[in-house]
This record gives sequence, C-alpha cells and structure tokens, in this order.
Amino acid sequence: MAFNIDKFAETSQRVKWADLDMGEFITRPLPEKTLRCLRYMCDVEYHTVCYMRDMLVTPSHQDRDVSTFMTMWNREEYWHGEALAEVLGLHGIVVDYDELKAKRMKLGWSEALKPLKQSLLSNMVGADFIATHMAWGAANEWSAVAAYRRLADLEKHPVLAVLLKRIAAQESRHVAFYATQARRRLESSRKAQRLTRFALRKFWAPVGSGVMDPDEVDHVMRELFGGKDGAHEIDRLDHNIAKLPGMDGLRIFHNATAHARESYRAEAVSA
Amino acid sequence: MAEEPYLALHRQGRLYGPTDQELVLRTPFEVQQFTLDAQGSLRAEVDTRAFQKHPLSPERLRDLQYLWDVERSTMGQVRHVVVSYTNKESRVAAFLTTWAYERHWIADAYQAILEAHGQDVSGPVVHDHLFLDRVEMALDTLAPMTDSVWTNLFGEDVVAGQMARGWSREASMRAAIQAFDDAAGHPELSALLQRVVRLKRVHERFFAVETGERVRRSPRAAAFARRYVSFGFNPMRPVGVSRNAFREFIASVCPTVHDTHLLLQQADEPLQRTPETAGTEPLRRALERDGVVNRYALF
Ligand SMILES: [Fe+2]
Ligand SMILES: [Fe+2]
Repeated sequence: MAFNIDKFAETSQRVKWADLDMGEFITRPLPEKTLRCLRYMCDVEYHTVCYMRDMLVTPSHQDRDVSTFMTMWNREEYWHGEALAEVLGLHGIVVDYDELKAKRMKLGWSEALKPLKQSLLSNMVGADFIATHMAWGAANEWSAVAAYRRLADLEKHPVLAVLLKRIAAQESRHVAFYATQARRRLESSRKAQRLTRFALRKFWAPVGSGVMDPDEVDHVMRELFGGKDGAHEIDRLDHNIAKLPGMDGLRIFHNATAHARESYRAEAVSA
Repeated sequence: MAEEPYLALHRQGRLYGPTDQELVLRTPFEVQQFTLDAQGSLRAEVDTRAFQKHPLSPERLRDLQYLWDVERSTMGQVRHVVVSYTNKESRVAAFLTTWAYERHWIADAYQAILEAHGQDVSGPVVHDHLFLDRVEMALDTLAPMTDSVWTNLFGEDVVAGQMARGWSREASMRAAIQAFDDAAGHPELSALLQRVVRLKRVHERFFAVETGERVRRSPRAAAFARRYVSFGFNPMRPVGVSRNAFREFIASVCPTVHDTHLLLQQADEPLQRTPETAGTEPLRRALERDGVVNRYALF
C-alpha cells in the first residue's frame, strides 16, 4: 500500500513558522521578482478551496479516503497560504480576507460557473472522471513541490528556504495521495486512460492559470523554470506524469512552459 | 505591463481589494484564533478499556452509528457551500476549513468506540434507503449546477441562508448528543460526548453570530435565512442518511413525548430567540415531515 490515509490524517499538521526568525525578512528583504512569485503561490494556495470544490461535485466525496484526504489537504494548503501571506506582509503586501474576496469577485462568472461545468462533465462521464481529477491533482502537486524547491534554491534566503522546504515536504505527501489514486483508477479502466490523456494534453495548464493573469503565470514560469536547471526540472515533471498508466509520451509541462522558457532565453541572450 | 515595477502596482499594499472599505463581514467571532486552536485527534481521550468492561448496548451502538454518519457527512455540506456564492467569502471559508477538520476527528472518536465494540467500520455506509431518500440523493447530485447559477445571481444575501442552516444543524446536533448522553448514562461515553459538545458549541456560536449579523443587515438576507431552514431541510439528517435511520434514532434517544419535546426545545430555541428567524422551528418541521411526530402530539 503506497499511501495510508489514516496515517496521513494523523500526521497532518499546519505548517509552522513560529520558530523561524521572520525578522530576517526586514533586514534581508526579498527582491520584487521573488515577491511576485510568492504572491502567485499564496493566491493559488488559498484558491485550493476552489479545486476542492471541483472535486466535490464528482461522486468522489462519498468515498471515505477521498473525503478524509480533502479535509486534511484543504487545511494544509490553507496554512501554506497563511505562511506565505505572513512573508508578503513583512514586505508590505497585504493578503487578507478582503484581498482574497476581491480577487474571487474579480474572477466573476467564469469562476462562479465552474461547478456547473464540472458537474455536467462529471454526470456525463461518470466515475472515470475521478481518475482524471486525480491525475490532474498529481500534476499540480508535483509542480508545487518543484516550484517551492526551485524558489528555495534560487533565492538562497536562509529563512525563506527553510519555510519553502517545509511546505514542499507537505506537497510531496499530497503527490503520494493523488498519484496513488490516479494510478489505481487509471489501471482499472482503459476509458479513464483515454479520457485523462486527452484532458491533460488538451487542457492542462500550470496551477493558477485561469485564476491569475497570464502575465503572472508567465513571470513565475520564467523565473522558476527558465534556464538549464529549470528545463531539467520540467523534464523530470513530465517523466513523472508519463509513468502513470496510459500517459507515456505526454509532455504537458514542456508544452505549457515552452513560451515562458523561450522568453527567458531571449532575455538572457539580449542581456 | 511586465516592465512596470511589481510593487508599484499595489495601493496601500493591495493588488485587488479596495483601500477604502472592508469587503468581508467581520463578527466578534475570532476566526483566526479558531483556526489556530483547531482540535485534532480525540483518540487519546477515548478510554477503550472502559468500554470493554462496560460495553454499550446494541441500541446505543446504533445511536452512536447515527451520530457517526452525521459527522462523516461534512464534505457533502461543504460542497453545497463552496459551489455557491459563499465560496467568495474568504472568512467563512477559513472557518469551514477548520470546522471540517474538527468534525473529522469527532467522527474518528465515535469510530474508535465502535471499533472497541468490534463493529466493522471499514466498509461504505449501507443505508436502508427509501424511494424518497434516493430521489433526494439524485437531486443533490444535480444541485451544484443550479446552485452555482442562482446563488451568484442573488449575491451575498444567500450566505445568511447557509449560515442559518449551519446554525440549526449545530444546535440540533448539540441537543441530540445531549439526549443520547442522557439515554445512555455511561460515564466514559459521557466524558467524550461532553467534550464534543464543547467543540460544537464553538461551531454553533460561529454560525449564530454570522447569521445574526447578516439577517440584521438586510431583509432579503433574513428572508433567505428563514427559507433555508424551513424548506427541504432536516438539521439532524444530512442527505445520504436515510429517513428510517433518523426515525430510529429519535425513537431511541427520545422514548417519551416529554423527551421529544425537550429535544425540540433545545434544538430550535436559539433560532427562536433571534427575531428575524423566530417561528421557523426547523427541527420540529423536519420531525413532522419525516413522520416522527404528529403535528398535534406535543400539545
Ligand atoms: Fe500547498
Ligand atoms: Fe499541495
């Protein structure tokens, strides 16, 4: 058994930062380009409740393991948001209830009607849709691990690096759940494989796309995955997805970040 | 745009929100503190050996199973909230995140007692669903489609309706747990149940204060609150839990008319005290509708 839900629940904690010297951010503030990445990540973390919502409209919430996972996962992600909001706050960037609500209101009907869309799809496709959700979730969590580790390495800020690695460790636990679920559900259904492959190839975009402005998505992808090490990381991510049943040869990360990485190269050449 | 310095885009530190007004309703309930104090596993407080010495009767185990099923239904309720306009309410979302977490561990504590009695807790819930239960579940599957549209058309007033339901549920379950405790008369069980009641009182207070503030601000919010707790709502029976199981539970923990009367009073009283929701009596209506009490039996 690759993933034990009871153990996951028992060991689920909110990420802690009280023991870290947050004053470091005053004496050694982060550069703007990093703050911009952190804000992106922070918004995406708080937005988890919307990803959870899309999952909840499928019949999966009646499954005990899934429902337990979502309870713990949603709370862990919420605290990732809180932790990043704390760091941003020390740099004068406010992310509070009002800011989050303003953001969601700005998204308007496109966000409000997502449950309708998801629900229609779920009722049309049936149980195989859950497999797609799980594979999608795995892709998102894999990229979250990579993103936090990359930012920790790039920035080399003593306190930020520790905090981001703590968050990344929790993201790895999320990966374990989604990947295990996806593998099991994909293995048992050819139809689920075809559907998932199609959905990932056609529609997958980095977490936060459709929620954040395209400029912001671009900035984060350029910062984190531009350059040689970034490209290496992208290959690793694609490799993970390709190992899921029926997903071999997919290069969703490569394709989704191609534009951003190209513009990073162009900038590097002109500089 | 990309060339413009990132920080310069902020107004008083904000990228999206207005700087001159608060968008989110704040009440005296400290959500931040609640999220920090979240209660995790209660297993250490369940004295399983005491249950081996003094086991619960089969009837009491069935009652407990009912409470377990209700507590496990959290995600179904979260679903209704997050597909609706209320998903924009970040403060409510922060509360619900922790509320769901605490309810998970309450359910887990019940499960520990069921396990201590050798009950099988691994399988899915099997309910003796009647035709009506099935219709209800089918409609519930479709609800996200309609709810996402109409709640966003009406906007924030809808939140009061959902908060009122939460309030009624918490008050009713608090009363139900108390009735169960009285009926069981088991000291170790009582210790855990009273612990649960303390946690649930906090949940109840959130929903109560939230409803109260919202219904006072807007007559339309008050109308939503009344409608939400009056129609198609049973505060003690989530969708998926059968009417039969509900009837059995009530009959078991409230053997006399007097007991039922007391349960109703404790469950519905909080909403009675608020002028905007007075007269709704959600649990009494539900009991009448699900055929547990005759409309005139209690007079
Ligand atoms: Fe996260
Ligand atoms: Fe995650």
